[in-house]
Amino acid sequence: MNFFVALLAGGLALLFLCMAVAPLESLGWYAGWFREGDARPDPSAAASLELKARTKVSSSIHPAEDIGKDASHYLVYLSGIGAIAANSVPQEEEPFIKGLEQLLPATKVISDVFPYSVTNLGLTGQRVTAAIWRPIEKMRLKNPDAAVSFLVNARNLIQMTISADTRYGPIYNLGIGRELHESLLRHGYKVGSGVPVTLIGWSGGAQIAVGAAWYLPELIGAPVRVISIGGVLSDDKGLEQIEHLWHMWGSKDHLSPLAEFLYAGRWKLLRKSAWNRALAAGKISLIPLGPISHNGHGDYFDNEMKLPNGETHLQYVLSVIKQALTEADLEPAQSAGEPVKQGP
Amino acid sequence: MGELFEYFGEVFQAIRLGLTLQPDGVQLLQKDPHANWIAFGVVMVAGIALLLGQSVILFLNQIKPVRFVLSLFANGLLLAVGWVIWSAAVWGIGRWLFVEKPDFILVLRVIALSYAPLALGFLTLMPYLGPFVHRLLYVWTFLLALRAVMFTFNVSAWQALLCVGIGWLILILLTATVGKPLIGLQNWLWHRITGTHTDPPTRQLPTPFPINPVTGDPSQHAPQGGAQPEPKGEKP
Repeated sequence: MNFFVALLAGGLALLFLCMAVAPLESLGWYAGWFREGDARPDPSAAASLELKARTKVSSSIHPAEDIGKDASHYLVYLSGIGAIAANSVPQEEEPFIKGLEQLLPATKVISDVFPYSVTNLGLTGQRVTAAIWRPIEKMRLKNPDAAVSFLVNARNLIQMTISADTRYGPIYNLGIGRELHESLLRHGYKVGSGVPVTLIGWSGGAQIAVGAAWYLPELIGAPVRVISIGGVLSDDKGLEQIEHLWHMWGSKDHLSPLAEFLYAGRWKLLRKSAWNRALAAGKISLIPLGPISHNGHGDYFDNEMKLPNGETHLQYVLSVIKQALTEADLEPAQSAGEPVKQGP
Repeated sequence: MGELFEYFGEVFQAIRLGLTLQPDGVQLLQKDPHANWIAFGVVMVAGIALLLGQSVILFLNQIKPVRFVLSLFANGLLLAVGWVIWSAAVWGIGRWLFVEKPDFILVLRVIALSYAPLALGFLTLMPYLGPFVHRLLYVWTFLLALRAVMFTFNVSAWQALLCVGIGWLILILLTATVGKPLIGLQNWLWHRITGTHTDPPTRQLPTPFPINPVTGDPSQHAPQGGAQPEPKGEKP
Protein backbone atom coordinates (compact mmCIF):
# COMPACT_ATOMS: atom_id res chain seq x y z
CA MET A 1 0.00 0.00 0.00
CA ASN A 2 2.78 2.38 1.01
CA PHE A 3 4.52 1.64 -2.26
CA PHE A 4 1.48 2.70 -4.28
CA VAL A 5 1.00 5.84 -2.20
CA ALA A 6 4.66 6.70 -2.73
CA LEU A 7 4.30 5.98 -6.46
CA LEU A 8 1.24 8.21 -6.69
CA ALA A 9 2.93 11.00 -4.73
CA GLY A 10 6.04 10.68 -6.89
CA GLY A 11 3.96 10.78 -10.06
CA LEU A 12 2.08 13.87 -8.90
CA ALA A 13 5.30 15.60 -7.89
CA LEU A 14 6.77 14.84 -11.33
CA LEU A 15 3.63 16.13 -13.05
CA PHE A 16 3.67 19.37 -11.04
CA LEU A 17 7.36 19.81 -11.77
CA CYS A 18 6.79 19.30 -15.51
CA MET A 19 3.90 21.77 -15.41
CA ALA A 20 6.02 24.33 -13.56
CA VAL A 21 8.87 24.04 -16.05
CA ALA A 22 6.64 24.03 -19.16
CA PRO A 23 6.08 27.82 -19.48
CA LEU A 24 9.83 28.43 -19.46
CA GLU A 25 10.09 27.43 -23.13
CA SER A 26 7.90 30.27 -24.35
CA LEU A 27 9.03 32.72 -21.65
CA GLY A 28 12.68 32.00 -22.46
CA TRP A 29 11.94 32.44 -26.16
CA TYR A 30 10.36 35.84 -25.50
CA ALA A 31 13.28 36.93 -23.31
CA GLY A 32 15.75 35.79 -25.99
CA TRP A 33 17.33 33.10 -23.82
CA PHE A 34 16.67 30.19 -26.11
CA ARG A 35 17.44 30.17 -29.79
CA GLU A 36 15.65 26.96 -30.65
CA GLY A 37 14.42 27.87 -34.09
CA ASP A 38 13.78 31.56 -33.74
CA ALA A 39 15.11 34.99 -32.94
CA ARG A 40 14.18 37.15 -29.99
CA PRO A 41 10.92 39.05 -30.51
CA ASP A 42 11.01 42.81 -30.58
CA PRO A 43 9.72 44.31 -27.32
CA SER A 44 9.02 47.84 -28.58
CA ALA A 45 5.62 49.43 -28.18
CA ALA A 46 4.87 48.95 -31.84
CA ALA A 47 5.50 45.23 -31.67
CA SER A 48 3.03 44.43 -34.38
CA LEU A 49 4.46 46.99 -36.77
CA GLU A 50 7.92 45.64 -36.15
CA LEU A 51 6.64 42.20 -36.91
CA LYS A 52 5.13 43.45 -40.13
CA ALA A 53 8.43 45.07 -41.13
CA ARG A 54 10.29 41.87 -40.39
CA THR A 55 7.73 39.97 -42.35
CA LYS A 56 8.60 41.90 -45.50
CA VAL A 57 12.21 40.87 -45.06
CA SER A 58 11.39 37.29 -44.27
CA SER A 59 9.15 36.93 -47.27
CA SER A 60 12.14 37.71 -49.43
CA ILE A 61 14.29 35.26 -47.49
CA HIS A 62 11.72 32.47 -47.69
CA PRO A 63 10.21 32.63 -51.15
CA ALA A 64 6.60 31.59 -51.06
CA GLU A 65 6.19 27.92 -51.82
CA ASP A 66 3.30 28.38 -54.13
CA ILE A 67 3.17 31.97 -55.30
CA GLY A 68 0.88 32.33 -58.25
CA LYS A 69 -1.79 30.02 -56.89
CA ASP A 70 -4.15 32.77 -55.82
CA ALA A 71 -6.76 31.68 -53.35
CA SER A 72 -9.78 33.63 -52.21
CA HIS A 73 -9.57 32.08 -48.76
CA TYR A 74 -6.86 30.50 -46.60
CA LEU A 75 -7.53 27.76 -44.09
CA VAL A 76 -4.80 26.88 -41.58
CA TYR A 77 -5.14 23.59 -39.74
CA LEU A 78 -3.87 23.33 -36.16
CA SER A 79 -3.56 19.77 -35.00
CA GLY A 80 -4.79 18.22 -31.77
CA ILE A 81 -2.54 17.48 -28.81
CA GLY A 82 -1.31 14.25 -30.40
CA ALA A 83 0.95 16.08 -32.85
CA ILE A 84 4.72 15.62 -32.60
CA ALA A 85 5.53 18.16 -35.31
CA ALA A 86 3.70 20.01 -38.06
CA ASN A 87 4.49 17.12 -40.42
CA SER A 88 3.98 14.40 -37.82
CA VAL A 89 0.35 14.37 -36.82
CA PRO A 90 -1.65 11.32 -35.76
CA GLN A 91 -2.46 9.21 -38.85
CA GLU A 92 -6.20 9.69 -38.46
CA GLU A 93 -5.87 13.42 -39.11
CA GLU A 94 -4.27 13.00 -42.54
CA PRO A 95 -7.48 11.98 -44.41
CA PHE A 96 -9.20 14.93 -42.76
CA ILE A 97 -6.62 17.40 -44.10
CA LYS A 98 -6.80 15.78 -47.56
CA GLY A 99 -10.58 15.92 -47.35
CA LEU A 100 -10.47 19.65 -46.67
CA GLU A 101 -8.23 20.18 -49.69
CA GLN A 102 -10.57 18.23 -51.96
CA LEU A 103 -13.82 19.67 -50.66
CA LEU A 104 -12.85 23.35 -50.63
CA PRO A 105 -11.80 24.37 -54.17
CA ALA A 106 -11.55 28.10 -53.47
CA THR A 107 -9.52 27.59 -50.32
CA LYS A 108 -5.80 27.12 -49.83
CA VAL A 109 -5.38 24.59 -47.01
CA ILE A 110 -2.21 24.92 -44.92
CA SER A 111 -1.05 22.41 -42.35
CA ASP A 112 2.60 23.22 -41.64
CA VAL A 113 2.22 24.98 -38.29
CA PHE A 114 2.95 23.07 -35.09
CA PRO A 115 0.76 24.84 -32.55
CA TYR A 116 2.53 23.46 -29.48
CA SER A 117 5.75 25.39 -29.95
CA VAL A 118 6.17 29.16 -30.16
CA THR A 119 8.88 28.66 -32.77
CA ASN A 120 7.10 25.99 -34.86
CA LEU A 121 9.79 23.56 -33.77
CA GLY A 122 8.51 20.00 -33.59
CA LEU A 123 9.30 17.79 -30.64
CA THR A 124 11.82 15.83 -32.70
CA GLY A 125 13.52 18.96 -34.05
CA GLN A 126 16.70 20.63 -32.81
CA ARG A 127 15.71 20.79 -29.18
CA VAL A 128 17.29 19.47 -25.99
CA THR A 129 14.51 16.94 -25.39
CA ALA A 130 14.43 15.59 -28.97
CA ALA A 131 16.13 12.37 -27.87
CA ILE A 132 13.07 11.56 -25.76
CA TRP A 133 10.54 12.20 -28.51
CA ARG A 134 12.26 10.48 -31.47
CA PRO A 135 11.83 6.91 -30.16
CA ILE A 136 8.24 7.74 -29.23
CA GLU A 137 7.58 8.94 -32.76
CA LYS A 138 9.07 5.72 -34.16
CA MET A 139 6.92 3.62 -31.82
CA ARG A 140 3.83 5.54 -32.87
CA LEU A 141 4.60 5.06 -36.55
CA LYS A 142 4.70 1.31 -35.94
CA ASN A 143 1.67 1.30 -33.69
CA PRO A 144 -0.58 4.40 -33.74
CA ASP A 145 -2.18 3.30 -30.46
CA ALA A 146 1.14 2.89 -28.61
CA ALA A 147 0.67 3.72 -24.93
CA VAL A 148 3.71 6.01 -24.85
CA SER A 149 1.81 8.43 -27.10
CA PHE A 150 0.15 9.72 -23.97
CA LEU A 151 3.42 11.49 -23.14
CA VAL A 152 3.06 13.56 -26.31
CA ASN A 153 -0.56 14.30 -25.42
CA ALA A 154 0.39 15.31 -21.86
CA ARG A 155 3.20 17.57 -23.05
CA ASN A 156 1.01 19.31 -25.62
CA LEU A 157 -1.94 19.53 -23.23
CA ILE A 158 0.24 21.53 -20.85
CA GLN A 159 1.25 23.82 -23.74
CA MET A 160 -2.44 24.33 -24.48
CA THR A 161 -3.06 25.43 -20.90
CA ILE A 162 -0.19 27.89 -21.30
CA SER A 163 -2.02 29.40 -24.28
CA ALA A 164 -5.17 29.72 -22.16
CA ASP A 165 -3.38 31.12 -19.09
CA THR A 166 -3.82 34.89 -18.77
CA ARG A 167 -0.22 35.21 -17.54
CA TYR A 168 1.50 33.33 -20.34
CA GLY A 169 -1.10 33.44 -23.11
CA PRO A 170 -0.06 36.87 -24.43
CA ILE A 171 3.49 35.58 -24.98
CA TYR A 172 2.63 32.08 -26.19
CA ASN A 173 -0.05 33.25 -28.59
CA LEU A 174 2.26 35.94 -29.96
CA GLY A 175 4.70 33.21 -30.96
CA ILE A 176 1.99 31.14 -32.62
CA GLY A 177 0.57 34.26 -34.32
CA ARG A 178 3.99 34.94 -35.81
CA GLU A 179 4.31 31.36 -37.02
CA LEU A 180 0.86 31.46 -38.61
CA HIS A 181 1.84 34.68 -40.33
CA GLU A 182 5.10 33.18 -41.61
CA SER A 183 3.28 30.11 -42.82
CA LEU A 184 0.72 32.17 -44.73
CA LEU A 185 3.56 34.03 -46.43
CA ARG A 186 5.24 30.78 -47.37
CA HIS A 187 2.04 29.78 -49.11
CA GLY A 188 1.74 32.95 -51.14
CA TYR A 189 -0.47 35.04 -48.89
CA LYS A 190 -0.19 38.75 -49.60
CA VAL A 191 -0.35 40.88 -46.46
CA GLY A 192 -2.85 43.69 -46.87
CA SER A 193 -4.74 41.89 -49.64
CA GLY A 194 -7.66 41.43 -47.28
CA VAL A 195 -8.00 37.76 -48.25
CA PRO A 196 -9.81 36.15 -45.32
CA VAL A 197 -8.12 33.53 -43.19
CA THR A 198 -9.77 30.80 -41.15
CA LEU A 199 -7.96 28.84 -38.48
CA ILE A 200 -9.30 25.36 -37.93
CA GLY A 201 -8.24 23.55 -34.81
CA TRP A 202 -9.04 20.20 -33.32
CA SER A 203 -9.08 19.79 -29.54
CA GLY A 204 -6.21 21.84 -28.07
CA GLY A 205 -5.43 23.28 -31.50
CA ALA A 206 -8.74 25.15 -31.38
CA GLN A 207 -7.84 26.93 -28.13
CA ILE A 208 -4.48 27.93 -29.57
CA ALA A 209 -6.20 29.14 -32.75
CA VAL A 210 -8.44 31.44 -30.70
CA GLY A 211 -5.44 32.65 -28.67
CA ALA A 212 -3.36 33.44 -31.76
CA ALA A 213 -6.37 35.17 -33.31
CA TRP A 214 -5.68 38.09 -30.96
CA TYR A 215 -2.63 38.95 -33.06
CA LEU A 216 -3.25 37.57 -36.52
CA PRO A 217 -5.83 40.03 -37.95
CA GLU A 218 -3.47 42.95 -37.45
CA LEU A 219 -0.45 41.04 -38.71
CA ILE A 220 -2.12 40.17 -42.02
CA GLY A 221 -4.57 43.05 -42.30
CA ALA A 222 -7.51 40.74 -42.91
CA PRO A 223 -10.39 39.19 -40.99
CA VAL A 224 -9.75 35.92 -39.16
CA ARG A 225 -12.32 33.26 -38.36
CA VAL A 226 -11.93 30.12 -36.29
CA ILE A 227 -13.44 26.65 -36.61
CA SER A 228 -13.23 24.53 -33.48
CA ILE A 229 -13.68 20.77 -33.79
CA GLY A 230 -14.15 19.43 -30.30
CA GLY A 231 -12.12 22.39 -29.08
CA VAL A 232 -11.26 22.74 -25.43
CA LEU A 233 -11.85 26.48 -25.46
CA SER A 234 -11.25 29.00 -22.72
CA ASP A 235 -12.71 32.52 -22.66
CA ASP A 236 -9.65 33.79 -24.47
CA LYS A 237 -9.43 37.49 -25.29
CA GLY A 238 -8.68 36.43 -28.86
CA LEU A 239 -12.43 36.02 -29.25
CA GLU A 240 -12.65 39.81 -29.39
CA GLN A 241 -10.55 39.93 -32.55
CA ILE A 242 -12.13 37.16 -34.56
CA GLU A 243 -14.83 37.64 -37.13
CA HIS A 244 -16.64 34.43 -36.20
CA LEU A 245 -16.17 31.18 -34.30
CA TRP A 246 -17.85 27.94 -35.27
CA HIS A 247 -17.61 25.60 -32.33
CA MET A 248 -18.53 22.02 -33.29
CA TRP A 249 -18.61 19.08 -30.95
CA GLY A 250 -20.04 15.58 -30.69
CA SER A 251 -22.45 14.41 -28.03
CA LYS A 252 -20.04 11.61 -27.07
CA ASP A 253 -17.16 14.06 -26.73
CA HIS A 254 -16.66 14.45 -22.99
CA LEU A 255 -13.48 16.54 -23.20
CA SER A 256 -14.69 19.54 -25.15
CA PRO A 257 -17.60 20.36 -22.75
CA LEU A 258 -15.18 20.06 -19.83
CA ALA A 259 -13.89 23.52 -20.74
CA GLU A 260 -17.31 24.94 -19.80
CA PHE A 261 -16.55 24.00 -16.20
CA LEU A 262 -12.79 24.44 -16.07
CA TYR A 263 -12.70 28.02 -17.36
CA ALA A 264 -14.72 30.42 -15.24
CA GLY A 265 -15.13 32.79 -18.18
CA ARG A 266 -17.31 30.16 -19.87
CA TRP A 267 -19.78 30.16 -16.97
CA LYS A 268 -23.05 31.88 -17.80
CA LEU A 269 -22.79 33.82 -14.53
CA LEU A 270 -19.85 35.86 -15.82
CA ARG A 271 -21.70 37.81 -18.47
CA LYS A 272 -18.83 40.19 -19.20
CA SER A 273 -16.32 37.47 -20.03
CA ALA A 274 -14.90 37.44 -23.56
CA TRP A 275 -16.79 34.22 -24.31
CA ASN A 276 -20.18 35.45 -23.12
CA ARG A 277 -19.78 38.80 -24.86
CA ALA A 278 -18.88 37.08 -28.14
CA LEU A 279 -21.82 34.73 -27.69
CA ALA A 280 -24.20 37.64 -27.05
CA ALA A 281 -22.85 39.45 -30.10
CA GLY A 282 -23.66 36.44 -32.28
CA LYS A 283 -19.98 35.82 -33.06
CA ILE A 284 -20.13 32.20 -31.91
CA SER A 285 -22.09 29.46 -33.67
CA LEU A 286 -22.53 26.36 -31.53
CA ILE A 287 -22.92 23.33 -33.79
CA PRO A 288 -23.69 19.91 -32.27
CA LEU A 289 -22.44 17.14 -34.53
CA GLY A 290 -24.36 14.17 -33.17
CA PRO A 291 -22.99 11.02 -31.54
CA ILE A 292 -19.29 11.57 -32.18
CA SER A 293 -16.53 11.10 -29.59
CA HIS A 294 -13.42 13.20 -28.97
CA ASN A 295 -10.81 10.65 -29.97
CA GLY A 296 -10.30 6.98 -30.67
CA HIS A 297 -12.93 4.80 -32.31
CA GLY A 298 -15.92 6.89 -33.40
CA ASP A 299 -14.15 10.24 -33.27
CA TYR A 300 -14.43 13.19 -35.66
CA PHE A 301 -12.05 11.61 -38.19
CA ASP A 302 -13.52 8.12 -38.20
CA ASN A 303 -14.22 7.22 -41.82
CA GLU A 304 -15.86 3.87 -41.03
CA MET A 305 -18.49 4.54 -38.40
CA LYS A 306 -21.65 5.98 -39.84
CA LEU A 307 -24.17 8.44 -38.48
CA PRO A 308 -27.94 7.90 -38.78
CA ASN A 309 -27.92 9.94 -42.02
CA GLY A 310 -25.60 7.37 -43.63
CA GLU A 311 -22.47 9.54 -43.74
CA THR A 312 -19.27 8.55 -41.97
CA HIS A 313 -18.13 10.81 -39.15
CA LEU A 314 -15.38 12.22 -41.34
CA GLN A 315 -17.69 12.91 -44.27
CA TYR A 316 -20.22 14.61 -42.04
CA VAL A 317 -17.69 16.82 -40.23
CA LEU A 318 -16.19 17.88 -43.56
CA SER A 319 -19.60 18.69 -45.00
CA VAL A 320 -20.58 20.79 -41.98
CA ILE A 321 -17.32 22.72 -42.31
CA LYS A 322 -18.01 23.30 -45.98
CA GLN A 323 -21.51 24.49 -45.23
CA ALA A 324 -20.26 26.95 -42.59
CA LEU A 325 -17.68 28.39 -44.96
CA THR A 326 -20.19 28.60 -47.79
CA GLU A 327 -22.68 30.47 -45.62
CA ALA A 328 -19.91 32.92 -44.74
CA ASP A 329 -19.23 33.44 -48.47
CA LEU A 330 -15.76 31.96 -48.15
CA GLU A 331 -16.53 29.11 -50.52
CA PRO A 332 -18.73 29.17 -53.65
CA ALA A 333 -22.37 28.33 -53.11
CA GLN A 334 -23.28 24.68 -53.28
CA SER A 335 -24.29 23.35 -56.67
CA ALA A 336 -27.99 22.88 -57.41
CA GLY A 337 -27.88 19.12 -57.05
CA GLU A 338 -26.09 19.22 -53.70
CA PRO A 339 -28.47 18.75 -50.76
CA VAL A 340 -28.60 21.30 -47.97
CA LYS A 341 -27.13 19.91 -44.73
CA GLN A 342 -29.82 19.00 -42.25
CA GLY A 343 -28.32 17.14 -39.32
CA PRO A 344 -26.65 13.87 -38.40
CA MET B 1 32.46 22.36 0.40
CA GLY B 2 31.24 19.54 2.63
CA GLU B 3 30.04 22.08 5.19
CA LEU B 4 28.11 23.88 2.50
CA PHE B 5 26.30 20.69 1.50
CA GLU B 6 25.67 19.98 5.17
CA TYR B 7 24.23 23.48 5.58
CA PHE B 8 21.88 23.09 2.61
CA GLY B 9 20.89 19.68 3.92
CA GLU B 10 19.90 21.25 7.23
CA VAL B 11 18.02 24.07 5.49
CA PHE B 12 15.97 21.60 3.45
CA GLN B 13 15.40 19.45 6.53
CA ALA B 14 14.13 22.56 8.33
CA ILE B 15 11.82 23.31 5.37
CA ARG B 16 10.53 19.73 5.40
CA LEU B 17 9.86 19.86 9.13
CA GLY B 18 8.57 23.42 8.89
CA LEU B 19 5.86 22.44 6.39
CA THR B 20 3.93 21.02 9.31
CA LEU B 21 5.82 22.98 12.02
CA GLN B 22 6.70 19.77 13.77
CA PRO B 23 8.42 19.98 17.17
CA ASP B 24 11.49 18.35 15.56
CA GLY B 25 11.85 21.40 13.36
CA VAL B 26 11.66 23.76 16.31
CA GLN B 27 14.18 21.62 18.19
CA LEU B 28 16.50 21.74 15.20
CA LEU B 29 16.44 25.53 15.36
CA GLN B 30 16.81 25.57 19.17
CA LYS B 31 19.82 23.27 19.40
CA ASP B 32 21.78 23.70 16.20
CA PRO B 33 24.75 26.06 16.59
CA HIS B 34 24.02 27.46 13.12
CA ALA B 35 20.30 27.86 13.83
CA ASN B 36 20.16 31.53 12.80
CA TRP B 37 21.78 30.76 9.46
CA ILE B 38 19.46 27.80 8.91
CA ALA B 39 16.46 30.05 9.63
CA PHE B 40 17.89 32.64 7.23
CA GLY B 41 18.37 29.89 4.63
CA VAL B 42 14.72 28.85 4.91
CA VAL B 43 13.56 32.42 4.25
CA MET B 44 16.05 32.87 1.39
CA VAL B 45 14.85 29.69 -0.33
CA ALA B 46 11.26 30.90 0.15
CA GLY B 47 12.09 34.28 -1.40
CA ILE B 48 13.89 32.71 -4.37
CA ALA B 49 11.10 30.20 -4.98
CA LEU B 50 8.41 32.87 -4.71
CA LEU B 51 9.97 35.05 -7.38
CA LEU B 52 10.70 32.05 -9.56
CA GLY B 53 6.98 31.30 -9.45
CA GLN B 54 6.21 34.84 -10.58
CA SER B 55 9.14 35.11 -12.96
CA VAL B 56 6.86 35.97 -15.87
CA ILE B 57 7.44 39.54 -14.61
CA LEU B 58 11.17 39.18 -15.28
CA PHE B 59 10.77 37.41 -18.62
CA LEU B 60 8.37 40.08 -19.83
CA ASN B 61 11.16 42.57 -19.25
CA GLN B 62 13.51 40.38 -21.29
CA ILE B 63 16.18 40.49 -18.62
CA LYS B 64 19.44 38.58 -19.08
CA PRO B 65 20.03 35.27 -17.26
CA VAL B 66 22.63 36.79 -14.91
CA ARG B 67 20.26 39.54 -13.81
CA PHE B 68 17.53 36.94 -13.51
CA VAL B 69 19.58 34.96 -10.97
CA LEU B 70 20.56 38.16 -9.13
CA SER B 71 16.89 39.14 -8.95
CA LEU B 72 16.00 35.82 -7.37
CA PHE B 73 18.62 36.28 -4.66
CA ALA B 74 17.59 39.90 -4.18
CA ASN B 75 14.04 38.77 -3.59
CA GLY B 76 15.33 36.29 -1.02
CA LEU B 77 17.13 39.10 0.80
CA LEU B 78 14.07 41.36 0.66
CA LEU B 79 11.95 38.61 2.15
CA ALA B 80 14.59 38.14 4.87
CA VAL B 81 14.26 41.83 5.78
CA GLY B 82 10.51 41.34 5.96
CA TRP B 83 11.02 38.26 8.12
CA VAL B 84 12.93 40.31 10.71
CA ILE B 85 10.29 43.09 10.68
CA TRP B 86 7.43 40.61 10.95
CA SER B 87 9.13 38.67 13.74
CA ALA B 88 9.78 41.90 15.66
CA ALA B 89 6.13 42.87 15.32
CA VAL B 90 4.93 39.47 16.56
CA TRP B 91 7.48 39.44 19.40
CA GLY B 92 6.55 42.98 20.55
CA ILE B 93 2.80 42.38 20.42
CA GLY B 94 3.14 38.96 22.05
CA ARG B 95 5.15 40.37 24.95
CA TRP B 96 2.53 43.10 25.40
CA LEU B 97 -0.44 40.72 25.23
CA PHE B 98 0.72 37.50 26.82
CA VAL B 99 2.33 36.28 30.05
CA GLU B 100 5.09 34.28 28.36
CA LYS B 101 8.11 36.43 27.40
CA PRO B 102 10.24 34.40 24.94
CA ASP B 103 13.53 35.67 23.52
CA PHE B 104 13.38 37.54 20.24
CA ILE B 105 15.80 35.03 18.72
CA LEU B 106 13.41 32.13 19.44
CA VAL B 107 10.49 33.98 17.85
CA LEU B 108 12.68 34.86 14.88
CA ARG B 109 13.70 31.23 14.34
CA VAL B 110 10.23 29.75 14.74
CA ILE B 111 8.64 32.39 12.50
CA ALA B 112 11.25 31.45 9.87
CA LEU B 113 9.85 27.93 9.86
CA SER B 114 6.41 29.31 9.00
CA TYR B 115 7.92 30.50 5.68
CA ALA B 116 8.59 26.87 4.70
CA PRO B 117 5.52 26.47 2.40
CA LEU B 118 6.72 29.42 0.35
CA ALA B 119 9.69 27.25 -0.68
CA LEU B 120 7.15 25.60 -2.97
CA GLY B 121 6.38 29.01 -4.49
CA PHE B 122 8.00 27.96 -7.77
CA LEU B 123 4.84 25.89 -8.38
CA THR B 124 3.05 29.18 -9.08
CA LEU B 125 4.65 28.82 -12.51
CA MET B 126 2.20 26.03 -13.33
CA PRO B 127 -0.29 27.08 -15.99
CA TYR B 128 -3.93 27.13 -14.89
CA LEU B 129 -3.25 25.78 -11.37
CA GLY B 130 -0.48 28.25 -10.49
CA PRO B 131 -2.51 31.18 -9.10
CA PHE B 132 -4.55 28.78 -6.96
CA VAL B 133 -1.41 27.15 -5.57
CA HIS B 134 -0.01 30.63 -4.89
CA ARG B 135 -2.95 31.50 -2.66
CA LEU B 136 -2.89 28.09 -1.03
CA LEU B 137 0.75 28.55 -0.01
CA TYR B 138 -0.03 31.90 1.62
CA VAL B 139 -2.91 30.38 3.58
CA TRP B 140 -0.61 27.56 4.66
CA THR B 141 2.03 30.08 5.75
CA PHE B 142 -0.57 32.05 7.70
CA LEU B 143 -1.73 28.93 9.55
CA LEU B 144 1.87 28.04 10.38
CA ALA B 145 2.48 31.58 11.67
CA LEU B 146 -0.48 31.09 14.01
CA ARG B 147 1.01 27.82 15.19
CA ALA B 148 4.39 29.48 15.67
CA VAL B 149 2.82 32.12 17.93
CA MET B 150 0.89 29.43 19.83
CA PHE B 151 4.13 27.55 20.40
CA THR B 152 6.43 30.44 21.37
CA PHE B 153 3.94 32.26 23.63
CA ASN B 154 2.15 29.15 24.85
CA VAL B 155 -1.29 30.57 23.98
CA SER B 156 -4.53 29.33 22.35
CA ALA B 157 -5.34 29.59 18.63
CA TRP B 158 -7.67 32.56 19.20
CA GLN B 159 -5.02 34.45 21.16
CA ALA B 160 -2.49 33.71 18.42
CA LEU B 161 -4.98 34.97 15.83
CA LEU B 162 -5.38 38.21 17.79
CA CYS B 163 -1.59 38.65 17.93
CA VAL B 164 -1.10 37.96 14.20
CA GLY B 165 -4.11 40.14 13.32
CA ILE B 166 -2.80 43.13 15.27
CA GLY B 167 0.65 42.56 13.76
CA TRP B 168 -0.84 42.55 10.28
CA LEU B 169 -2.78 45.79 10.91
CA ILE B 170 0.38 47.46 12.22
CA LEU B 171 2.27 46.43 9.09
CA ILE B 172 -0.47 47.88 6.89
CA LEU B 173 -0.17 51.15 8.83
CA LEU B 174 3.62 51.08 8.54
CA THR B 175 3.39 50.41 4.81
CA ALA B 176 1.22 53.49 4.35
CA THR B 177 3.25 55.75 6.65
CA VAL B 178 6.77 55.46 8.02
CA GLY B 179 7.50 52.35 5.99
CA LYS B 180 7.40 54.30 2.74
CA PRO B 181 11.13 55.12 2.65
CA LEU B 182 11.90 51.44 3.18
CA ILE B 183 9.57 50.49 0.32
CA GLY B 184 11.20 53.19 -1.79
CA LEU B 185 14.61 51.68 -1.00
CA GLN B 186 13.28 48.24 -1.85
CA ASN B 187 11.97 49.47 -5.22
CA TRP B 188 15.22 51.29 -5.99
CA LEU B 189 17.24 48.17 -5.24
CA TRP B 190 14.88 46.13 -7.39
CA HIS B 191 15.24 48.46 -10.35
CA ARG B 192 19.03 48.51 -9.99
CA ILE B 193 19.32 44.72 -9.88
CA THR B 194 16.81 43.82 -12.57
CA GLY B 195 17.78 46.73 -14.80
CA THR B 196 14.13 47.48 -15.51
CA HIS B 197 11.61 50.15 -14.55
CA THR B 198 8.92 47.65 -13.73
CA ASP B 199 7.53 47.31 -10.22
CA PRO B 200 8.80 44.60 -7.87
CA PRO B 201 6.44 41.73 -7.05
CA THR B 202 5.52 43.32 -3.71
CA ARG B 203 4.89 47.03 -3.27
CA GLN B 204 4.71 46.82 0.50
CA LEU B 205 6.85 45.82 3.44
CA PRO B 206 7.97 42.32 2.47
CA THR B 207 5.93 40.25 4.93
CA PRO B 208 4.72 36.71 4.35
CA PHE B 209 1.15 38.01 4.15
CA PRO B 210 0.57 40.05 1.03
CA ILE B 211 -1.37 43.27 1.51
CA ASN B 212 -1.69 43.58 -2.27
CA PRO B 213 -1.35 39.96 -3.36
CA VAL B 214 0.37 39.46 -6.67
CA THR B 215 -1.08 36.86 -8.97
CA GLY B 216 1.45 37.28 -11.70
CA ASP B 217 -0.91 39.13 -14.04
CA PRO B 218 1.49 40.48 -16.67
CA SER B 219 -0.59 43.61 -17.15
CA GLN B 220 0.38 44.71 -13.62
CA HIS B 221 4.03 44.44 -14.44
CA ALA B 222 4.27 45.52 -18.03
CA PRO B 223 7.51 47.43 -18.32
CA GLN B 224 7.56 51.04 -19.35
CA GLY B 225 8.06 51.38 -23.06
CA GLY B 226 5.40 48.86 -23.92
CA ALA B 227 7.20 45.55 -23.80
CA GLN B 228 3.87 43.91 -23.19
CA PRO B 229 3.40 41.80 -26.28
CA GLU B 230 0.25 43.22 -27.71
CA PRO B 231 -0.50 44.68 -31.07
CA LYS B 232 -3.96 45.89 -30.12
CA GLY B 233 -5.24 48.53 -27.74
CA GLU B 234 -6.58 46.59 -24.80
CA LYS B 235 -4.31 44.25 -22.93
CA PRO B 236 -5.05 40.61 -23.50
